[in-house]
Amino acid sequence: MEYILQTNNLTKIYGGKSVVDHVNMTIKKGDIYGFIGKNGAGKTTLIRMVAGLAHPTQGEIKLFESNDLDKQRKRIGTTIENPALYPNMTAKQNLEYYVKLYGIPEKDAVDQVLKLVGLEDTKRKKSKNFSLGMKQRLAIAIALLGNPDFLMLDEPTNGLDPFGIKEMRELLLRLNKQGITILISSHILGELSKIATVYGIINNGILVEEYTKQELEERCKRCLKIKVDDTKKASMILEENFQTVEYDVLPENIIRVFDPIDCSGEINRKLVLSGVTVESISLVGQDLEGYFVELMEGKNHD
Amino acid sequence: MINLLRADLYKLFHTKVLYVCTIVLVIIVGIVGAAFYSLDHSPELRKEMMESDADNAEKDTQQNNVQVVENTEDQADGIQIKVDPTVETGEEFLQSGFQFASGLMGESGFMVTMIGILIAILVGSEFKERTIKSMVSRGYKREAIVVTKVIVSSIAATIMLLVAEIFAFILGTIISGKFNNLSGSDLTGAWNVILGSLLGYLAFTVLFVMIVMVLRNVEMSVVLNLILICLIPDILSTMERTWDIPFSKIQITDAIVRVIDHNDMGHMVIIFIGYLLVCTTIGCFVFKRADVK
Repeated sequence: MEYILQTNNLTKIYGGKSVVDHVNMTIKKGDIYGFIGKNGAGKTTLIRMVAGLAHPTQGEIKLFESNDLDKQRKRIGTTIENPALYPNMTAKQNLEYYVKLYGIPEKDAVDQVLKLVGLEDTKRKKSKNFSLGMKQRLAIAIALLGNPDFLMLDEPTNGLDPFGIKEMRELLLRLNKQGITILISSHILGELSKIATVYGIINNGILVEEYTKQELEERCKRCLKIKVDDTKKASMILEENFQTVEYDVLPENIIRVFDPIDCSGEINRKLVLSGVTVESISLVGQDLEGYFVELMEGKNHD
Repeated sequence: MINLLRADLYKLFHTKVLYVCTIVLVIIVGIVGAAFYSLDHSPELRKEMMESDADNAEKDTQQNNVQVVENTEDQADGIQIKVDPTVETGEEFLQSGFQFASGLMGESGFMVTMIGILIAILVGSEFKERTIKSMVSRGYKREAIVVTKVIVSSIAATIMLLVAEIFAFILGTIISGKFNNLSGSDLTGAWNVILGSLLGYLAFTVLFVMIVMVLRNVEMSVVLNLILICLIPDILSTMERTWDIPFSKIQITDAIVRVIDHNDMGHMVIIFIGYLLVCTTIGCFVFKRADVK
């Protein structure tokens, strides 16, 4: 297994306060790592440390399993916070500057990335006159110059309209298929849930949890939560009456039914008619956003 | 390093600041040329100015125990204010294109001010627009970034000064009708003034780059550069007189004056190399330790 990023007890202290607190993060080759956290949780600070913009107070960073960070950073494309552009240059001039900076030999590299992010028609318009969405696209085009192996994108969908967000999602998925590993932080959790394969949740500088997409889906799975007086009898009735029934039994006389979940009335009727007392029946489970909000508020999950 | 240089040079010629500062400097040169022309063609105005200069010099002498000397090689303690006797005898301010250009090069005040503004904006905008992070995040050594800024800023300052000098030469030639009136040692001296002053301005450039790399802010850098230009020479002179520490030996403006007055190129070269090494080292040290926003 090839690791793209590994951090070991990575810590950053500003003014006596730990902004990033002993974070151990791993990103494997091919991952799309969704990095989730509230404002000020430490996402950007961690990305800045990986990019070499901020010095860690403590801990270690490995890129591509190497400690030679300066060398490995040449394989990374980043957009961090606001797009870093020269306002008096056009999109093409900005990219030509970066082509020279990164020492990219391909002559059509600029045109390729401009087309890729949909800015090929901006012509003589200076980047200071771009909308935020256009600036964001240009920043991503800069990050893509030189065919990086690892992309770190901090809030890349900021300022994009729904079409732009969709295009961005498709672009990132396409790049990932080409073998580029991606770290993406975003507040638009619905969007993130459509592309991320791994999630890392950070709160107050601490990496609270890391899940694969499957693990998170399992945690967020929607189900009917039924509290009865007799779980054994209730299980029998479910198996007898519903052919595709998928359920598990939890303590405190709770049954979770994962399939079917759209016939709570029918289930309730069968159980009651069979003499099982149904104390409560409800549809539970949530999307990534709901799960994230609950986690940040410190609620426990079953 | 080569990539950094190529990219920074590309940026230099695609941003407005170099062009704007150069045009402003050319306009100032034009105004100075026009003023010299007026003085040369208005004896009353010149007489008035000479009387005013003489009054001021006398006041300074009384207040500060400053010695007013004529244009001689005599050394005296304290600050010397030189009164050029040729002017009083009716020689023209603007004698030829070359004389005007070399004379302007030694006028450090507005040249240094323009360099201070140019460098603060040119380098400081990298921090304002946050484009500096693109260099750092691609793994370039911070020392290499600082050295690149020093080189490119020096190129920018040289271009600006050269354009102003060429304009001064052309303007002086047109106004006076002569492109050169100097010969022999005077001509060599004029060339020394141009080269020595250029070295002095490059020493200022390195100092200004260091200030930007330390402050990492355009506005603060402009303000500090202007304060440095306006106040530091006076403060250092006062400190020198008070504590008898020879600060004037490390002052760039004093080194320029020594080139003009005594053709002391050796001192200027030492000053330039000293500023280059010390300021670049401080810039690297501070920038290497700083977090980039």
